[in-house]
Amino acid sequence: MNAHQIIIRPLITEKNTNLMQLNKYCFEVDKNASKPEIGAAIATIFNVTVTDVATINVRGKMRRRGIRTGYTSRWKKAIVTLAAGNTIDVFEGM
Amino acid sequence: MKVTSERMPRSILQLTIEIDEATVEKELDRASRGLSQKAKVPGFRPGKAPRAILERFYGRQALLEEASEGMINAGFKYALESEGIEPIAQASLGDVQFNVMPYTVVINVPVEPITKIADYSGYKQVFAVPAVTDEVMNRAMDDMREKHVVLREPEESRSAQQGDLITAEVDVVHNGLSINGRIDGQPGQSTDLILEPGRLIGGLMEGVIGMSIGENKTVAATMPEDYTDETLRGEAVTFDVTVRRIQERILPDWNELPTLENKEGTLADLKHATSDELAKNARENAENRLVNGFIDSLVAGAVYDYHESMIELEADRILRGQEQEYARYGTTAEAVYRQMGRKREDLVAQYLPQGEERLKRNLAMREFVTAEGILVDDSDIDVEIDAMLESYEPEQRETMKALLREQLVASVANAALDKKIRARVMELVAQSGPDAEPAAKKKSTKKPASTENDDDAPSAAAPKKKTTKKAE
Repeated sequence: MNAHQIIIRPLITEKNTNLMQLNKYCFEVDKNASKPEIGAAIATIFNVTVTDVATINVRGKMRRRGIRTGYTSRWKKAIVTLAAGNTIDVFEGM
Repeated sequence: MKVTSERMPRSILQLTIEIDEATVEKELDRASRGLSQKAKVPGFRPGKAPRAILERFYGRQALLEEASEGMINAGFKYALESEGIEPIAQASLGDVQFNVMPYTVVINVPVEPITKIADYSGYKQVFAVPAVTDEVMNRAMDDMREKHVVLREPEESRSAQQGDLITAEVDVVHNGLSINGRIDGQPGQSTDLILEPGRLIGGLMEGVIGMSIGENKTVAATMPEDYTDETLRGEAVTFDVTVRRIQERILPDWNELPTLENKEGTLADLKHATSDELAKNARENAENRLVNGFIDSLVAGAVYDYHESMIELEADRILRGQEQEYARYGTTAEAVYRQMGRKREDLVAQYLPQGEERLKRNLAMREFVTAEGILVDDSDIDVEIDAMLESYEPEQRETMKALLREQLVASVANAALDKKIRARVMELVAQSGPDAEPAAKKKSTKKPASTENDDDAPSAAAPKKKTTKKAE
């Protein structure tokens, strides 16, 4: 898996915007990616120094269509902490 | 912020405002807060999405559109303050450039009009007061006597005689067509005819004399050459007259006239007083003609640059004056308009030509007042109030004085200014004696107002506040 396969998209929400003040950035990442792989991928793509990676496996939500019920896909969220002085361009100006 | 202004025709000041970056940023922030409240951005509660997110989500153009009103208002406010501009009507937005910094906005502001009056120093007129002739005097005395006429049914049924008042149905026919609506009253309605020489159209009086009640007669007559309806002047018409009522007109004795007029003294005293009154009126009329002639000439010779909204405002003022009249008669303007089946806006549009004339007159007079330095101060107002109070009973004077001093002070000031203007015009224009030049010849010496004559234009620094009272 290359870096762009690991990092799917940045997660831009109200909560994550607040986390940026703590130099923490959130991404949706590949379900099978490990913390080191995620850290390395972020460092490669954005040219930053990653100090910590926290991950959360987000469970699929139950959805119902009439009598049928199912679940949305499970996915993995990563909260990446950068070294002081590092920022990620994609969030610049936020 | 940078502002450049340029005076355009029709009294418009074109402001080109360059909006500085700080204002743009401030307004964009403000707009993003507003947009954030309305917009639904995934991941954010309403009002919580930051400006950068909104800018990415909706694009900068959407934010600019949201911020444009604030930027324009801020720029306009700054321009008005910095340039000391006082708009006289709603400004209009011209070109707006929000693509490249610096952003620019063009705003057209209607401002105070500019009026240049022509040189009036050469305008002279002979001031001649027509004498009160015996004919004029006799007519006035006859009219006075006529006011006290007593009408009475004849004791015995008789035909119409000279001096009677006849109530008759009169149908006027010209070239085979009834033209009642154009002569007297409505068709089928009765008309009062006084059988006195000079009171009726030639031939009608002679035709009616001798008719009895209920009698019908067709009388041929010729319309007078000075008849109000031009199409009927000198035309042969027929009057189809049906007499309905005959009344004797009993005029009072000449010696009773002073008593009937509530005057002390004899008939000779009344004649003397009437003669004085007629002489005074003749003098006033002559003065009015002179002053009005001068003002008309001033208005016609002036060059104006005013905004069209001022015409509308003036037309509106004329209509408001009429509405006050309606209120005086106990009805409302809305009720009148409803009855007429017309809207107020249509009526304002109808009064636009009159409004323009009045506006020109006001502007020209304002310039004249400024050029002549005519001012109304408190002492003039006091004199005017004292003059006005003379027409009131002594016990009413205190109340009226307070009213004139407080609520009606503008009207009093206008009256005082009017008198001063008239006096000044008379000083400038009136020429007496046989050596006075004809007015037409003098008029031709007037210089037309032109841009080269700018030095002749009244100084803008001349006191305006007082003088505008009249113009307004």
